Amino acid sequence: MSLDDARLSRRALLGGAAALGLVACSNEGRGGLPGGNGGGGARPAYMRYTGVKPDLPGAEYNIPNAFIRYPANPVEAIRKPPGDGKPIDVLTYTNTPIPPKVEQNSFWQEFNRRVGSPVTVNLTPSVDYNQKFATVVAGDRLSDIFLVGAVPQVPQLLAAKAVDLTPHLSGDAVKKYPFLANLPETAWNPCIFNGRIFGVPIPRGAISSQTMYSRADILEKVGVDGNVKSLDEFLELCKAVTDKRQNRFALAGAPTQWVRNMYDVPNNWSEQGKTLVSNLEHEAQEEVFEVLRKLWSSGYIHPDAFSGQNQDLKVRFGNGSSPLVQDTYSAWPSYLQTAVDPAMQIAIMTPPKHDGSGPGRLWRGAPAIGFAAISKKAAGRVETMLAYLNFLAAPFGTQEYLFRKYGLPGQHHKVVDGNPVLTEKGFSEVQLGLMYTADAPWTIFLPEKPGNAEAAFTAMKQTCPTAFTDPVAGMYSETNVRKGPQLTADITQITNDIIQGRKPVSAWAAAVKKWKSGGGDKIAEEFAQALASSR
Amino acid sequence: MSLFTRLRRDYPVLLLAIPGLLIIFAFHYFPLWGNVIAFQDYQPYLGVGKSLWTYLGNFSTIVDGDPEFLNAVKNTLVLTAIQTVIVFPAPIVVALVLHSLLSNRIRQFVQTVIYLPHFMSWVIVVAVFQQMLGGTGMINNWLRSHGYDPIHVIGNADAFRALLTSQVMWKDTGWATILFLAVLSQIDRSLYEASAVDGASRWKQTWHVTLPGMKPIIILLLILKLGDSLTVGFEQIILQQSAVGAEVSEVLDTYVYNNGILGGDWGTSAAVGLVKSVVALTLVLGANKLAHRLGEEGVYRG
Repeated sequence: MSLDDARLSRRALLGGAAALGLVACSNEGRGGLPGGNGGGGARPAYMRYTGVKPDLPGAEYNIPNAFIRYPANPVEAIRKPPGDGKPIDVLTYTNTPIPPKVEQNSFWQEFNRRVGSPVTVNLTPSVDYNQKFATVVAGDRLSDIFLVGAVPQVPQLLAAKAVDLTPHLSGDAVKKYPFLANLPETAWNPCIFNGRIFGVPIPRGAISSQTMYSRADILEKVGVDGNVKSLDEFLELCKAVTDKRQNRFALAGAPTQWVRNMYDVPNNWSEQGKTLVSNLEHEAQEEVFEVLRKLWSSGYIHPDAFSGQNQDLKVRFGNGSSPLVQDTYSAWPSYLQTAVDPAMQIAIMTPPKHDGSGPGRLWRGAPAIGFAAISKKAAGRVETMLAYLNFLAAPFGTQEYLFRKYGLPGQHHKVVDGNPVLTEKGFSEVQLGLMYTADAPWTIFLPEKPGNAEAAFTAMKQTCPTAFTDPVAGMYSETNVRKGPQLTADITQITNDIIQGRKPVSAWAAAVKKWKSGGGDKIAEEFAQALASSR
Repeated sequence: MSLFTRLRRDYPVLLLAIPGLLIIFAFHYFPLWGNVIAFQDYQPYLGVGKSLWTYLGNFSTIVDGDPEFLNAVKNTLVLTAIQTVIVFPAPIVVALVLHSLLSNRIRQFVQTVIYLPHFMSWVIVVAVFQQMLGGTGMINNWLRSHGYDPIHVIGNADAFRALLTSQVMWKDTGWATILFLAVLSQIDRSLYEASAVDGASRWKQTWHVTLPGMKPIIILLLILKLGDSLTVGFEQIILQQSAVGAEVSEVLDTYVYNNGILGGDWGTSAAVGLVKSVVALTLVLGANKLAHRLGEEGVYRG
């Protein structure tokens, strides 16, 4: 071969470059996997933990069990530390202040010792978590264990970045992790895509239903009855409690859901024959907005309600600047633990029907509030990761639960009447976001104030059995996954605009129409199919 | 001199430039490659290598005029106008006032105080404003406890632009003054003396001596400002967006973030960002050319 032949001619070079360009720009071999349906396929077996007997059993009402006392001599449920000595990195959210660093945190040090691996947690306030998660995904910096945020295309994301846990968790395989097997069957639904298990759920259910907390001590001081029977009585109560000169505003935030409960607006979706209808289209929505606008314009809602962060709600309720706050039943312990006023008394205000014709209906919380997945980067250590999650799911009544929630006696909690009560140091140090990494089924246990566990149990017994259930909670809709976050953001935006009077109530109908055409109708269709095929 | 002899003569200097060039390449030129996202239905979990190509599809948002995009453009342009007309000249005025102060000690004190806020992050600045002016901020709490009506600033969509502008000015005016003060001290004193001998008043001195002396730096900064004129303060706005709603607060940068990173529409957002950069580049080059036409130096000689 002569030298001349080996030299590329200009034409050949250009032709080659063009061909390269074409190859680079074709869509062959690109794109992710299609999303799949939640139901069907592999499921973990269920094996209930029967180690303790509740003081107030809730199974009959489909609410959590309640305990007045922590069982004496709790059992050691896990003998072998789950860790492998190498670091376990976790990404999740929190609803409490960020804990001190591990060097200054005796709970964290002891926790690492018991786990058998140094655990690092990357915590973000829950309201900002989706933003954090989206940026972490974008930067490809997912931790070993991560709570899956509401971003578009979750199934494809998981297929690309998370370990398929099916071989470890489906059927009887899960029994290797007995406390994961103790999680309710329905809680697993949101973690299953295309018949594959991609995560471990954080079970909640009825306990995560939104309700209204009131500062009974302040209501009593003002001289009003917290037991409202109609919308008018509620408005009167708000008026009586609001005292602008003392900078006190009845409500810490806009009680959007609670007002909807007064009008029997269903929980997200309702079935009408074979089709699903979104509650956005419910005829009472405009009336609900009128009520909320009135609450806002009368100054009954804290003026910074729309500009602050979630935690401010707890601060406002705790320091009495807002004696009413809408929150989940599961928030009760943190309200007690963050209380600054020793005279604080918490009560539940159940929603009446707006016209006073009986009780309103709450929205029952979804079986799981989210799920944690394991990164492919940690694929070689899947069993360690699952053992760690199993450790975090150790149920009420065990030593592990006691330590996880209350730390060490004397250091992080003191024992009052045989019950652990967190000290100030304990409260600040135990907040490692553990209950948002993996958790046991919820147990009502409020040792901070006598009588509170009974009160919480009674309130839940009254309100939860009649609560609306979201018929498609945990089910899968491709459009919802792809466009849902954006659609929800738009609806939240218009909701806030209307409540604050920036847009008229009549703007709602147009926004709902846009929601429907922008994907809402498609979502309804897909959910209806998923629902039909799940039966 | 041939290239070779020049290289031989200058090579130690060129070697010194290499680390800097590497940094510029790594942080300025290498990331440009990411703009291919603008031509893809990009998904971060797939990466550039596996995402589907949409070619020019993403640019349809810009061409067709998606209402949310147009709203972002409108807000951006309004804020750009405000920042060019009000925020940009502010440090010049402050510099002139400071320069005319006789006491050196007062001048240094004032200077220190007004440029301190520059060192605070936006989170702190926004929090300070909220603690002062918020619904339960210091001022409103005082007003309410004394029986007056509170003023509605934070969370008031109508006051949002004024709020943004005052925050920017509070934070950065002092800092921007430094450059102008440096130039002012460079102006030849003999010009002032000569004009005083000719009977010019203080005002006339400012107009005929000080401002012409500052003209090159003003033009230079204005051109540079045009380059990022469409960047009207991402962090500052995103922190306050939830309080006032997207209608008045969505600008191009927040649109890119909300729509792309949070909404998952990466391709369109990258396309918007790309077009924004092209517009900014055109503005800078155009303004520089104009400056040359007018006989000024501009950013560089071209």
